[in-house]
Amino acid sequence: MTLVSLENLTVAFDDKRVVDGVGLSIAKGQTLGLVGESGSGKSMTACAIAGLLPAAAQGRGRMRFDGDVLDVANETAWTKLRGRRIGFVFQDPFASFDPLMSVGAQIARASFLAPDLAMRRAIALLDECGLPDPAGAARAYPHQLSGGQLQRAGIAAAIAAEPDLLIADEPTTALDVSVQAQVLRVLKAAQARHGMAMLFISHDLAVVGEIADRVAVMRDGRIVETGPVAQVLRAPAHEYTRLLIASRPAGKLPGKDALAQGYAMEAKGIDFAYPARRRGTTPAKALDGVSLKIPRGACLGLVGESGSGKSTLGRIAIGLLRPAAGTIRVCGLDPMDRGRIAERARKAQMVFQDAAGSLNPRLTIEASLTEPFALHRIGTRSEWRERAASLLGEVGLAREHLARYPHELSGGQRQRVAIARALALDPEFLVCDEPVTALDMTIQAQILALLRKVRDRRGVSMLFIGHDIGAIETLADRIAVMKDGRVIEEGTAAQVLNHPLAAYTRSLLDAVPRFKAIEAPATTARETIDA
Amino acid sequence: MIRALGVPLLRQIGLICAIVIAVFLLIRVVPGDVVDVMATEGDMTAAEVAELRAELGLDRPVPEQLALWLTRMAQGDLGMSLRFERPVAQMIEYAIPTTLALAAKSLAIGLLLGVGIASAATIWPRGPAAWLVDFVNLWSIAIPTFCVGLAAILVFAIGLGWMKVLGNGFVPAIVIGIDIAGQIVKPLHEELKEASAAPYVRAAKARGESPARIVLAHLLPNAAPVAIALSGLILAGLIGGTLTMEVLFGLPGLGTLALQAIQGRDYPVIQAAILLFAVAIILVNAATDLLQRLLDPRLRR
Repeated sequence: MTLVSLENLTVAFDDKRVVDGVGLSIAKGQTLGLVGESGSGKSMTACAIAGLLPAAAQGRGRMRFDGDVLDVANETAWTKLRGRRIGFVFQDPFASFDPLMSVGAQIARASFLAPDLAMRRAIALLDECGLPDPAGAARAYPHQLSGGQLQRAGIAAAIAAEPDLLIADEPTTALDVSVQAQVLRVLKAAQARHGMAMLFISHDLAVVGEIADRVAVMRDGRIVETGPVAQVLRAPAHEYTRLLIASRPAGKLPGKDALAQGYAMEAKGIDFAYPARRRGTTPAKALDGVSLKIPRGACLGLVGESGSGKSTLGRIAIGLLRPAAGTIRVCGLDPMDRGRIAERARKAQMVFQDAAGSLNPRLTIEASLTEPFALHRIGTRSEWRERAASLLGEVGLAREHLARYPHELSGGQRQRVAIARALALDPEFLVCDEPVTALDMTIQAQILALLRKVRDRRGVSMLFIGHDIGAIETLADRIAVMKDGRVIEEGTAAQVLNHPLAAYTRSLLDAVPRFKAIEAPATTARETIDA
Repeated sequence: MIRALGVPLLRQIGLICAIVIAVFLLIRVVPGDVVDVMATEGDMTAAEVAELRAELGLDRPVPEQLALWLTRMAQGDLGMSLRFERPVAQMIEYAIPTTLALAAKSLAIGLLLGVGIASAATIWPRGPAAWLVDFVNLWSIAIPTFCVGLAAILVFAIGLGWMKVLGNGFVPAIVIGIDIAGQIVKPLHEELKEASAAPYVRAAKARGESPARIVLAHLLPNAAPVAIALSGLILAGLIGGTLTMEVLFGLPGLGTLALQAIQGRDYPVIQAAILLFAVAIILVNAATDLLQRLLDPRLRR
């Protein structure tokens, strides 16, 4: 029996339509997975169902909820539904709790029970959602809980009034992989116990495949395909769904640009020369007709001895140097396009060899990490700290490092901070210019493991520059070898490593006798943090 | 927390000493002393004037007077009033309750009005409260309290004859209260509006909390630091700032006392009053700091 159905939902900001004629329905007790890339309109659809559209959005359409008909344009109709019959789990758990009120009190308020009953109910719910010390968690303030704990508390708050429909908007995206699975289990268990219907929104088809009965795929504000989850995953009818499934291992869904063109970086015939030191001498050519392509989601390792021009190419890719000739597109943009510098910065970022030099010594780590948010006006000031903390968590540092200055950290930790800052704007493309060269062997392995983790989880494309083939081998899908400003060999990592064509590549490989030895610690040292 | 407040406290004690000494010296720079004032009131010969000055110790060098006063103050003795021949401590003790009561009443009225109007304007952004925010704010900026006070006397005391019904301290408290409300309401309303854009507000809405509940339970506590900081400043100002209302309504408070002492060059009373104002301002500042720390669990340790 249908619990909720949406007819012809349209959401627009001014004249820009973000949801365009969406219709969907969810049966009682059933889970619908809504999949799509960011900007596809899936979150706005969820907000419309919960009556939470932002004030600037104009929504139109009709919704049937358990026999009642509601007009999307008239938000007051949702007053009786929100919280009581429709629960909502948000993506960022820290953003869904008032920092000044204890978690238990906020869950209690959501239960609509008399105060004494409500607190007991809150503790029971926290217990049900798998928090180890439910009474303690109820007394705690949001900042005292971890992201995973708080997200489970968020689920507890969403189900406190026993709603008929639970909307979960990317509930695991802001969490560590290890915690994601737990949170999914909690959601599933809560749904089964209370017989709720669920709208589960995600960009990750695999997660949706685990939890949903039916799935709807959204793109550009429209639903392009819908059906039982097994059918859609096994035999996708729409081209875009096939693309989603095909690109799954990279983790992140390809953006619109990926459909238009499949390259994170595309360089054609790049020439570059540094200005001559003395007048009269001819400038040394650093790059001579370099052409390279990096497919989206791939990592290209660029090797060569120092002076071969590989760092120059990296700097050109990020817009720090202007090529003398040739064209380069990074994430579909010309990095030298002054008018779109901000856009470039959001899409492509760089990790430098010298982490100490790339961090302002007078800024705390928190200040360094939140600077991009201020420059790009992302989120509110209050969110920044949490974002910075979660970035640090992602690179294996702790929250207390926020207050430190760069000189108080080890070299490895500084490089982790530099990586965190490069990731702050959630870029699609990362240029890593010898990020481990200045570090000890064991720490190198840890940083490489971290970069691999970042790549796998975020699906960022990478240009990884190094002179050590051993370091590159653990990360790169493809390898290009440079000498004297030219690319002399390029191919898949396996090809180049096992069957090097150029004599120079063979000599490079021979010069790294210990590259097998690095690989071993690199795989075991994944999660260890250098002290 | 005690340590966090302790260091500033030491600094502030130093500040109090500096203020007190500065005032001690400054009032002696003003031409004429208490004996001159008395001499103009009653007929006194030059010999009598000199004798009185010697008796009160005013003929001694200023540094000596300062040393004597500081020594006595350190022993808890604020001295005797030069004009009324009563202990200064007694006069101040008598004046404090009036001023404190007026300040407390005014602040309570101001907070009630200010917080109430700002909250209502946030809950109903298109309602009359939103208009009141600007009205009360402009009122307090544009009309000095002594004008409102005079008008209030004309209307309530002389015109309607309500003064006896309302009591002596109530009308001035309303006049000051509206002034305070005007100072608080605008910044608080802005802060509430800003806080309502925070993501947890949307989450609270998703859990079914009504706009009124969201404003009262979530937004007000989050905006409280602004109101507390402002109230602290206002209260600190009130301790000396009730003067106009006290004089206007004939209330025997600290303001009246200080004014009379200044007019009569009653040095020990002026010094004691200034000392009291300084201590009060520092105490209020410390209390605001403490309150803000207590209200934010993230700052509590």
